[in-house]
Amino acid sequence: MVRNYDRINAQPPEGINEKRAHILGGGIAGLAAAAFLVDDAHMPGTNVTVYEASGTTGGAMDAAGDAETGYKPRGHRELHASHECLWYLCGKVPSIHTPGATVLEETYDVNVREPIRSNFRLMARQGERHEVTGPLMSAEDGRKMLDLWLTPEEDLDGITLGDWFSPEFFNSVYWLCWSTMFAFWPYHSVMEARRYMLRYADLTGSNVGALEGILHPKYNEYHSFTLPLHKWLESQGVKFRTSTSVTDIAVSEQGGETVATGVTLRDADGEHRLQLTRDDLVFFTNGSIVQNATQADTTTVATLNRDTADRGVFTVWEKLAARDPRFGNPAAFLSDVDKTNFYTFMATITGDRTFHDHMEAKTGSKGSTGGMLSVVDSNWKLNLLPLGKYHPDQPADVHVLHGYGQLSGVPGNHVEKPMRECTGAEVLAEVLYHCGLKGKIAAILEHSKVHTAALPYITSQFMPRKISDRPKVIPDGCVNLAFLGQYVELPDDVVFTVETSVRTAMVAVWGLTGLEKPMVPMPQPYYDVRVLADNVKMMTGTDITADTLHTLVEGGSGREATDSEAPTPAPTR
Amino acid sequence: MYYSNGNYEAFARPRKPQGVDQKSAHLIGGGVASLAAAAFPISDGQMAGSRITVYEASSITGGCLDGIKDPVEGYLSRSEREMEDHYECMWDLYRSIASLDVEGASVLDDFYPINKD
Repeated sequence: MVRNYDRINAQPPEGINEKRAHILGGGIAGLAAAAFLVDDAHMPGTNVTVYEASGTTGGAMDAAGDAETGYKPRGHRELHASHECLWYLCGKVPSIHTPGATVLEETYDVNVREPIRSNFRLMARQGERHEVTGPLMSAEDGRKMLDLWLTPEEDLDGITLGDWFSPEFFNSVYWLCWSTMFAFWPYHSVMEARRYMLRYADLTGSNVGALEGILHPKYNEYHSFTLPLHKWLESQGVKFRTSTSVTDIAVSEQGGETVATGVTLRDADGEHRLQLTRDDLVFFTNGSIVQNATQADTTTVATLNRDTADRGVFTVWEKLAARDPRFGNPAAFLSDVDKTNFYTFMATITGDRTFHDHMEAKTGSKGSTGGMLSVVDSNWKLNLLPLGKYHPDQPADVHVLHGYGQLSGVPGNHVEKPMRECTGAEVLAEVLYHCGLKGKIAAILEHSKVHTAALPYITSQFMPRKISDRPKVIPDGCVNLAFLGQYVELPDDVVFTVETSVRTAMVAVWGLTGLEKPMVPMPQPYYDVRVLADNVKMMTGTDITADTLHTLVEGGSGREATDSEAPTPAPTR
Repeated sequence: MYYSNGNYEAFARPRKPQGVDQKSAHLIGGGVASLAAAAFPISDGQMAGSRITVYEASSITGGCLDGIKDPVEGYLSRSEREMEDHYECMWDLYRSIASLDVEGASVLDDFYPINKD
């Protein structure tokens, strides 16, 4: 729990005015690091430079395109009230849309007025509701889940969800709701899944289908989060060098300490080397979930990029890791794009309310307030996210629908091609078919611009791994080098959230500057007995009692805990 | 009453309450309860400070949170309070009150390192 007592402004760390920060990667992790350096660690803004390979900052938190040609974000992030580090950051940043408010206040206000609550979480049979009541999983899988909670993660190296649960688990209501929220698949790491089950135990207990606690930005992630943060950092003197990529980082051992001594950068003028001293702090985002993304539009196909020679920051990480095992093992995550890719799409529909009226009538939710809707009998495993006002300049007659398909390599149910071979128009046709609008496909397509994105590494951070496959935020011995983003080991934390990126930035800044400020603790909802009781009841079908607790403690395993009494199917809300 | 949980709520200022510009606050008693009740309408309730009055029977505010320096008679403090790190409301108050000793620091910012070292 975050205590008010720990919300101090700490004194400037010794020598901070003489230090410089080189932030390699301008995604949310890098931008957050710049903000914490300037605002918490008192580093002069002019001492901070952000280097970004692409032409814009924000990384995956993007929103390119416009109403006329269609919006084209590559993905969508889920936000949650327990994202302590993110909201701490957003509390600093002035909104660019709401005068006098911070980004946090703007987000807070929109979620008070338009809270997300799903009334129609799962869909099947061309537009029918698939009920989320009844037993969420079998008694056997409930026992296996309890066993997973009670197994230390040191025992889970390299194990997949498919290894752990029975085949039926992957058809259970729990799996259909849970896996689509976070984009898990049975070949992903059970260690990572366990972290999610614990970290979000309050969100994914017996009420897993409701999506209560998921928050949404006022507009899109770029205009609501990235751009205000970028502008505020500029006003603090922080320098940005876009279209500048890092190609290598030199590290040397000096008297038992590890020092980053140089960074090689490439821009339009060629390669440059920055010589570094111990006073140069390097913050390196060593992976990107949108690395080697390709995009296409209504009439073209986004080709899955399988190149392994140039993978941007992943390639730099590979070079570092090849020299020193402390920097992790990128191969664990980057070796199978057939398993780590998925495809996203964004449909921009102008002057035709058919789709949105149809979905509003079906779900009872307006704008973005229904949250995600997953199509359980879709071959592509489609997930749909109808959105409200997505762009600040969006005309009133323009409506948008975002979504993704978890399986890009199998033919659709209506369009007889894999998603990865489809144009934007074909993707939208498949979506409309599943929504029960088969007869209106041609008419709606006339009003639609569709952009698709092929993301080869979007779930790579979920691949089976050992703890040591990811570097620590500050690897042992490093005095001026930190790792940020989704491919970094933070004890107990999950990956694939905005919060993860921001937390790595916070840990890195506190650590490398020596700031004497308490670190925001990891949320641990599973220590709340109400959350624990709800989850145990979901898994075992029994109310938590002193006896249950006693057995859990004594036995250390859910199998023993429930074998003595025949579990009844888990009741739900 | 809605109780907040973490940073998501702690750092979001609430919207200005309806009619707060027409309201006045009369705080009877000048102990820490009243002083806090005078501070929250300003910092959180967005009430103008000039609409708030504190009435105190003695000639000095603070009630039993006292400390008189008298070089002749000796220092006077009628008693002592124990404070702990989970005093959420108290530290919420004092993170928005400026320290008299350390420029740019809040009372909490000043207090915290003293108790850490």
